[in-house]
Amino acid sequence: MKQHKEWHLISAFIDNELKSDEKSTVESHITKCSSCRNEYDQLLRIKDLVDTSLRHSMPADLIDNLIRQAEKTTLSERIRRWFQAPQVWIPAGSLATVLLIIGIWMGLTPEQTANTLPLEPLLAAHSRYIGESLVPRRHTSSSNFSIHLARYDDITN
Amino acid sequence: MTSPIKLCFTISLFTLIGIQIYCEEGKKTSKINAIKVLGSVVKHPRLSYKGRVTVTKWFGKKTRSEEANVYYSYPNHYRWEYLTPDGGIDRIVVGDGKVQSVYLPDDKVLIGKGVNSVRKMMDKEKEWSLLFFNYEATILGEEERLGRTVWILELKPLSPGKPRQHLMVDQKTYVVLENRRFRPGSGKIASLTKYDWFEPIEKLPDTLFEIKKTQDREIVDHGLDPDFLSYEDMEEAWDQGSDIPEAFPSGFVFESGNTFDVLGETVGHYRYTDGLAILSVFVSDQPVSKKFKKEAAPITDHSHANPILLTTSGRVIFKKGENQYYTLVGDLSKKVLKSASELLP
Repeated sequence: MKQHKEWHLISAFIDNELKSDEKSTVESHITKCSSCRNEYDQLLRIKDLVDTSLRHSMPADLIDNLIRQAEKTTLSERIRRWFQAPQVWIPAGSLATVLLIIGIWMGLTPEQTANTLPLEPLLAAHSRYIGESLVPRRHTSSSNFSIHLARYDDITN
Repeated sequence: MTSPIKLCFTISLFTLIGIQIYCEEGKKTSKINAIKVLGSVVKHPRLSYKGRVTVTKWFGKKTRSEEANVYYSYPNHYRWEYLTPDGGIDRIVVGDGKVQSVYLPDDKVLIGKGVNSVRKMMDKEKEWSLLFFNYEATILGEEERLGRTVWILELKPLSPGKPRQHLMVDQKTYVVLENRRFRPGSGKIASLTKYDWFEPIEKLPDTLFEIKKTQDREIVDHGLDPDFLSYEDMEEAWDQGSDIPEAFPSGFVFESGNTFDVLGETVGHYRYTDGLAILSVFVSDQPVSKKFKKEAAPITDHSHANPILLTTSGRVIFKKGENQYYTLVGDLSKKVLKSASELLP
């Protein structure tokens, strides 16, 4: 073996993670190279130590907490997700369309269909009468007062 | 012998009495002056003039304005050229005291009864006295307008809920250079008519006041001709009118009436005046729609429905009577309209 194997290859050899050709190469090298052999022994000891060390099981509520923490999202995120859900938009869109059609129908349908008279001719008649006052005669204009003034010519003359 | 204290007291007393008499006289004088000024205003101004008038009306916080070139030639010829926002002429109103015609932008001419001023039913003296019965005329002071000194003549209603007016009367010509109409019960202006420039002139060309009838212009009538029927005539012409009051609170007295058709239904129009403000009471067998289409009509085109609701003071209320529906319209407070509606059967 011309060069020492890297420690992660030796570690992988210990964990039995190498392919067969790599495995035989590393095995052959370890038997010949004292340095790598030492490395191999040290890693093996550490592995044994870890395997034989005392284990504590994780409390159940801690697991639940960790899961909740992982799944926890902000309100805006939840709203965004809710709106992104396609099942929301189908009924909402349908409802909005129906309301829009009803709104347009109510807005455009003349009220006089229910036997009501339009207001405009009445207002026009009122304005026309005031217009008698407002007809721009002589030197006053655009006020109710104008006609009253204009019509008192005969009195004041 | 009179003591100095008594003397001082007597002098003070007479001084106070003098001041009081002076103030009372002042009040009387201002009232007399106001009526005199008003009397002079209504006379034909013995001069010709030209100028430009701006009419502004407030609707809530919004305003709409219209300008007009004005020509007046003594004794009774007038020409008003209403302008478009870009300064062009929108329509022209020409009159000679007997006939009035309106030239519209689509080359039509309105002429005849529909646009003529019509003598009304109410006796002039009665209307004049009604005006001063319901309004107080006062000269508030003097101001400068367009470089001319004007009197500020106030017409203040004596009962609440009706508009107050300020007329700026030119002291030399008695022409009203500015007219402010306030919202009922408010210091806010509902409409303002004022000259932006004004120039008395010796003679204006007669051609300005010619009423042209050319073949390429169709002479039409706009169909809003108000008949002027008396209260009795209204009762005869329209059997449903018998229970309509002849007068309403706040000084409104029947002036005239007529009937017209709306969608085949006859509507009665009862018009009341307090000498200045107008109250319309419409009577119909069918209810009237509460919706109003705000069409973009000129604010000074009074053959159109818009002007009444183009000021904040314009109000309409509806009432369902025993047999009829009533629609009350006026530049009056809701309270005044409501109190009138309560007298309807």
